[in-house]
Amino acid sequence: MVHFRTAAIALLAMGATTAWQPSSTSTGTSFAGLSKASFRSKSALPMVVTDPTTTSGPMAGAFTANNADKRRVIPEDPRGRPTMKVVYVVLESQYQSSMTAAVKRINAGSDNMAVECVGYLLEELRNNDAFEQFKKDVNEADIFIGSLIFVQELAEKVVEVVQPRRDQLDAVLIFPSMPEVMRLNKVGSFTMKNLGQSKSVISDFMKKKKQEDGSSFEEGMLKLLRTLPKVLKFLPSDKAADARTFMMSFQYWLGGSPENLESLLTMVGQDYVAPIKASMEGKEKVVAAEPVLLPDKAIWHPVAPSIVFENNQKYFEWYNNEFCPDAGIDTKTAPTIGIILQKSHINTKDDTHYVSLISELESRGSRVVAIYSGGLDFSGPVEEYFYDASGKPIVDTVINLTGFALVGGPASQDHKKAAAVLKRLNRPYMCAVPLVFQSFEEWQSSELGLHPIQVALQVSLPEIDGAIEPIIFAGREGATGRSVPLADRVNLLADRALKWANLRIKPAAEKKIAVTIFSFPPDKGNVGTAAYLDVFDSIKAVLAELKKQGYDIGDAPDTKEQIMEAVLNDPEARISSPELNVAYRMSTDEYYELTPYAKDLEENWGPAPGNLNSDGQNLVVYGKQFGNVFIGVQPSFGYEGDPMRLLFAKSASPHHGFAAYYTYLEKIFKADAVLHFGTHGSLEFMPGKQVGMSGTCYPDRLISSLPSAYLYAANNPSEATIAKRRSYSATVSYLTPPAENAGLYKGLKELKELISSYQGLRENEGRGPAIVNSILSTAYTCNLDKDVELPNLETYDSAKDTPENRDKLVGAVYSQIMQIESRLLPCGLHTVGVPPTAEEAIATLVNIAQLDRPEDKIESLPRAIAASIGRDINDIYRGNNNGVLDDVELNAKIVDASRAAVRALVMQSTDSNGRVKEVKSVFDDLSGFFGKLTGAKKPYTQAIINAGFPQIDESRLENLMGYLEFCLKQIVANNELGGIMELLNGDFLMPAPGGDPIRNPDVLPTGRNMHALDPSSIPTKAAVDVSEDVVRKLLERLKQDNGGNYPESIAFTLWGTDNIKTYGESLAQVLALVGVRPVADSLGRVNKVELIPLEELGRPRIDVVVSCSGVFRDLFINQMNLMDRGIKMAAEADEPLEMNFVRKHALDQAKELGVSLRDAACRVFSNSAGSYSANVGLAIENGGWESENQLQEQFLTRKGFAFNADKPGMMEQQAELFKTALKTVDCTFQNLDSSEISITDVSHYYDSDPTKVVQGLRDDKKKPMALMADTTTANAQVRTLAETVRLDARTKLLNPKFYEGMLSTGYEGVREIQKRLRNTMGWSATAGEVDNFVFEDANAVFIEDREMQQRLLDTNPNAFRDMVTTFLEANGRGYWETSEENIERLQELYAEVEDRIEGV
Amino acid sequence: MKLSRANLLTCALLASSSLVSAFTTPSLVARPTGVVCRSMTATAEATPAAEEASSSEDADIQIPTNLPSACGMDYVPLATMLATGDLVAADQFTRDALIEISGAKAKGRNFVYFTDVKNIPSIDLATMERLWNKFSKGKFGYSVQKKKWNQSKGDFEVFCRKIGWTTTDGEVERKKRWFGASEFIYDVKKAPEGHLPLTSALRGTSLIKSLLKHPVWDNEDWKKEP
Repeated sequence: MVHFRTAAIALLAMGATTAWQPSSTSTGTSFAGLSKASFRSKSALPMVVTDPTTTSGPMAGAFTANNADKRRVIPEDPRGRPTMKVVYVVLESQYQSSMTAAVKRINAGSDNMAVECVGYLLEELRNNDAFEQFKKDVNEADIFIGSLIFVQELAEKVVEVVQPRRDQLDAVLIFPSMPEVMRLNKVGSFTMKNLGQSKSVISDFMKKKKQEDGSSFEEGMLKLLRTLPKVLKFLPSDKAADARTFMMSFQYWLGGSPENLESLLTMVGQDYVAPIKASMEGKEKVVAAEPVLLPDKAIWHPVAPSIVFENNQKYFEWYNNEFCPDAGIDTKTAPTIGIILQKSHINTKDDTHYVSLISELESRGSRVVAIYSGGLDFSGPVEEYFYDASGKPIVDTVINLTGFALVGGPASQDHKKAAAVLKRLNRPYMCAVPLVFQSFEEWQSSELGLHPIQVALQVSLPEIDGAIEPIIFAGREGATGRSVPLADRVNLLADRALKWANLRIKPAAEKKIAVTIFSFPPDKGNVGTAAYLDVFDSIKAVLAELKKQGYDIGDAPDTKEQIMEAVLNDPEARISSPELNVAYRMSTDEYYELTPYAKDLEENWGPAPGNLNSDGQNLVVYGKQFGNVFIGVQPSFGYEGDPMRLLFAKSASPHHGFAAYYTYLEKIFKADAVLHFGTHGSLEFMPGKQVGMSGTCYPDRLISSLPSAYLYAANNPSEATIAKRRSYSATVSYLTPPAENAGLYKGLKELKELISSYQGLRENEGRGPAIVNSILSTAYTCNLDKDVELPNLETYDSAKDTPENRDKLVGAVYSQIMQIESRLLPCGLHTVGVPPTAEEAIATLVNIAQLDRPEDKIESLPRAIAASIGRDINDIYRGNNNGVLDDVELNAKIVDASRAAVRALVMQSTDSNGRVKEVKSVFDDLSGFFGKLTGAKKPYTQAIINAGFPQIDESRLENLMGYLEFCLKQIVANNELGGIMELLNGDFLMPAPGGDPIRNPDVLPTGRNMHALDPSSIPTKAAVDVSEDVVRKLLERLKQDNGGNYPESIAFTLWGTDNIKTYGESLAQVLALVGVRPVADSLGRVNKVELIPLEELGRPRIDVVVSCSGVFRDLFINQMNLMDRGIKMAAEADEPLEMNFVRKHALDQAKELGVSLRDAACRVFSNSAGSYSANVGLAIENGGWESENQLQEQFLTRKGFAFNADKPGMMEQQAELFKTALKTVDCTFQNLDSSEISITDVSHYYDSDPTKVVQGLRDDKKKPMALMADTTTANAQVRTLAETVRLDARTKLLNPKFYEGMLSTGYEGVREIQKRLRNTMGWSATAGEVDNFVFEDANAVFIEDREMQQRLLDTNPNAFRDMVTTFLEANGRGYWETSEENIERLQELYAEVEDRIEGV
Repeated sequence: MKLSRANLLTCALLASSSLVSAFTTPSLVARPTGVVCRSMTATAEATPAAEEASSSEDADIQIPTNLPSACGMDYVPLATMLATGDLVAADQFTRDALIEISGAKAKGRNFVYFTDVKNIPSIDLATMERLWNKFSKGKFGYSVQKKKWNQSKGDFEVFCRKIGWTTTDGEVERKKRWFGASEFIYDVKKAPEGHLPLTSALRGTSLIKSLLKHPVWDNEDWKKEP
């Protein structure tokens, strides 16, 4: 251990150095090497292009280090002309070269004026130096121009600077931007001051326009542009002239060419800038040329004789008859790629990145149709130009190079419309991204990769349209701002687009498909692992479908077992051979020849072949080929058992065997597409940038040109998003197994029976107390004393107790039992393409019916039922939670009635096989019609009446039942096989949100391309409301357990999926604790926070330590920004320390660490960029750890990277800050958002649990309280971690319904059980919150029971061996005390299994 | 033909002055703005190089005069620039010549699209190649690049590394800049083999690929002096 620690510290130090270095060069150095003075003197030279090499060094992490001075133009010789000073701010850089050229033209050619001009890229204003310079420039300016200022915080900065200067400025021209910036507009008497506030022709129009189509703000502006001449007539003439000037300016701006911008500046200068006006007294005004405008939409080609084509007939006349023959493209067979461009790049002739892709595609023999649109709605040109005269699509793949959502761009999107347009076209739709805020070098050296704002606007939003493959294809050239193509990326993009097109063109019989399955943790017992998926049964279904559609599947067997055996070798070998089936042995020569990056792997793994996926001579690819289908096993990460790599996996790379696998797929098997089978493998988690891969990122190198379809669990949109972004995979969602109620068993079942008999006999003075005594003793056998305060079994006699106390006791036990009974658990494993049975659908619908959906005006079923007896359901829940027997009973009765009603609804549509084929509406059938006449009730109403609620109001149920019927249709309408085939056939797969089908039934039907949500939309108002409630409950509980004192600090864990499912609830909880409130901007995006005054808050601000998962960091870095700003705001609020724990702790830290208060108030932590998880889970799954210290060290090292809103481009290692923040923590807290991913289902929860870490750091060494919020049901709860572990164990690991359900799927089932056992032990290791009885009972169920033991051993010996090992390990590490006998049995068993596996 | 040094310089200046307008027409592949702008100053900077060239050899330099063209192109300026060691100008001249002799200019374009390459007469390519070869002692020229291309197995990134078209900023590898101060090496001794003439990939790598696939390189005939 000593060695490990020393080495770790040494490495830590190294890591720290490398992490710090870039930061010290990147902050505040943007002006380094280019002082004002040197700049001025340089600018006097004829050449204004300054030497860019002086300012761009490695800028790791800093997103925008360019400076505006590069864009400054100063007249060389004013020749006595008055000089107009112009400052402009733009979102995108393509205007830069046009503006520069325009200004130079005026300076060279105009007799009346000269122009001094400086431009800023919006994102640069984050930099303090740049911002100061900007202020200075605006203070000296005559004219201010802004365009596309759509980033809230930066919009505020612009307003802050320009607003006070507005009166002095001669003109302010703002083109589409946030309303508050638009209000700065001023051209003479023309203003938009009242935009969105009071009546004015223009603002009303724009407001209405926005409401009408919602699709695009800019569309509205364009429309306004066209309509304005009519409006102008009604204005007084001077006003009209000013308004006309504005509109003309807008047209010139949209035109974008140097000529147009020259006209704009000349026009504004001579009309509004006093000195110029004065000097022109008596002279004739220069009549500005009419704006030169390209058509609003058209087809463009770089070498076409005319600039653009306004219809595709004309285009193809030229293209097919002249261009293609000349270029050697065969128009009959060539694939056709549709490309979507941004008009401003064509206007400004900043188009080489477009030309580049077009030429790469054409030189590969494909045709190209490149279209653009003037506004930000590209759906019009898509519909117009991508179809031939007969209405057939012309294109085979579409690439959107704008990086924007198809309809609405950065402002407001209409995703529904976009997806509908794309589905009609039905072609793969790729959305590639040009770097806008970063130069190429900044992106290349950044570990985060693409700038977060761009990720939000140009990756997240297009995904919602159904876009795939966010490949960076162009960069911004630092010195000139021009877009330049990235040769290797453009080539990759061309290759990938053509491979997708190929899937449509190639006949099915010839297509080669690679199915990749996973093995995780790497062990033979785990081959074919995927969350909730019966992998081999699903492969069987996919093979059958492939065959049906004409693919060649050779002699593939048609049973699950045979397929499995073919991959795992023969059935005997499953036990006796350590080897999987070898599909290919790749010599090292061949490997190096075919794998261009193989040398780079040697740093970590030495020369090939190494010892992973290797036979010592060759690299070995495991799997089995059937016809044109290859089923292959993805190799493991390779460092699972290696503590050093677990700690610093970021510096690792895939091993040679991993690389060889993908080389084999692409270059030897020559797959046309790869199907990654289930949630989830390792490809997308390989080291590399977070988003926006470069050619040196491993996911990119591995997948190379292969189209990838990824079957992904519908409830895991966050990790699916990582797969989409990092490994260029299109996802196909699959249904998680339907959640059923856990039910009761053994002693718990007995308890329930006892309680029902008590209900009948409680008045009976003889039998009542006797039953209570039995209840008490059974409760003890079930270990319920851990959850409920029970009287002492030895001394208590209920006969001597009061009836009220008896009721109270029974109520408390009953409430506990109900929690277990009604808890949801996913039963069994899902097989692709198999919809749930009626019974399973009922379970899901009951849960859907349980939630109120005020936004859809749908009331929950329990609420309606409770109302029929004049009760409020929340009231009943409260009573239930407090163990009020009547309320517990009533709640149980309502639950039963709900189930009966839903059952009645589903039964209408159930066939004799117990499956729902076609949903028959209860609203339009004949019986319904006659029913109304005769006064008969609907079946579901009748069911509720029968369940004891005769007063139920049928009309009140109508909305809900209609909704449930709709949900039922969605549940059974899965398109999983269909979705897979759509991708393999080169069709467009419809997008769908991922998440919890119960909260958000839009997740259904499955079989669609999953996306996360628009990150700037969270937290929603509803989420903020819910979280305030949870925070209140949490603080109540903590106060109660802490002698009436508020906790000072709470450690939080934030998950990507959790926040997607709940629309940011846990994020909102953090804000609520600190006492800040998220504020939405006028476009409904949350990107601002404000402090809630202490008087209003009514309690102290609670400090937080937020640990974000790597996935959360990838998806929601802007929300990390939000939290960090909120926390810093709290720390800087001058408030009494006893009312502001954030400030209190930050002041201490600032003193201790010698940093500023602001820097000390860093509370938002995560992994370093591009790395995921604490790897504690990996260590525990593997068993390869020595002491808990090692795990804690790993947690601190890997999760101790701070986010800082002041340096948003990087994650900075801040181990000391992390530790000092953690040591004041009183409580650790996590959210449990859905029943199917609970705390023992996956390793993630304990992986990031800091309970013991905090204990170690605290001065008093007191273990912090560990709590979990459970928002999986309408009746949200805050429980202790120990309670939650018990609840989970009772409903899963120890529950026959669960383990029998798992075992019915065979091989995979054993592994699933083992996984829960191991994860349970994980909680012992990280939090020490697992009761002994959990292990004891598990041992009784799985080991002591000889029959069970045998079943497990026969079904999956490898997994069973792991199970035995886990028990022994739990005992060895001191987490489970048990009898000698038990241990001996386990040891014998271990030897026996080992022998069997080794084939002795 | 024999020229004195002073004449050579004028010649070079004349050749490059026609390129200065590039500043306002920024879209160029064959002719990057920065390099062009620089060429004004670069000409001046190139003087020491020219001086060196002239001091190490005779003040009088042999300029080949038999420079055939299938389309009436005059290659004397190129020969002159190369002979005097003004590689910056020679490089620019070569790219400009391609625009002309590929017919792109006649079509009103100021860049060569890859489809134009097949229109470039072999005679002209051969003439330019012999000049580059001669004055770089076999170090520069498309034929040298073709050899490197083959060694790179058609991988553009590897190719760029081989002929020195990439550079590193710290750990970041990037292509040398086409804008601002040129980062390319206009020095026969210091530059790697195949470094010149430059062909930009700003409009895709297909242009250089097509150039290197031109039939003129299929055999060694281009080497023959006319």
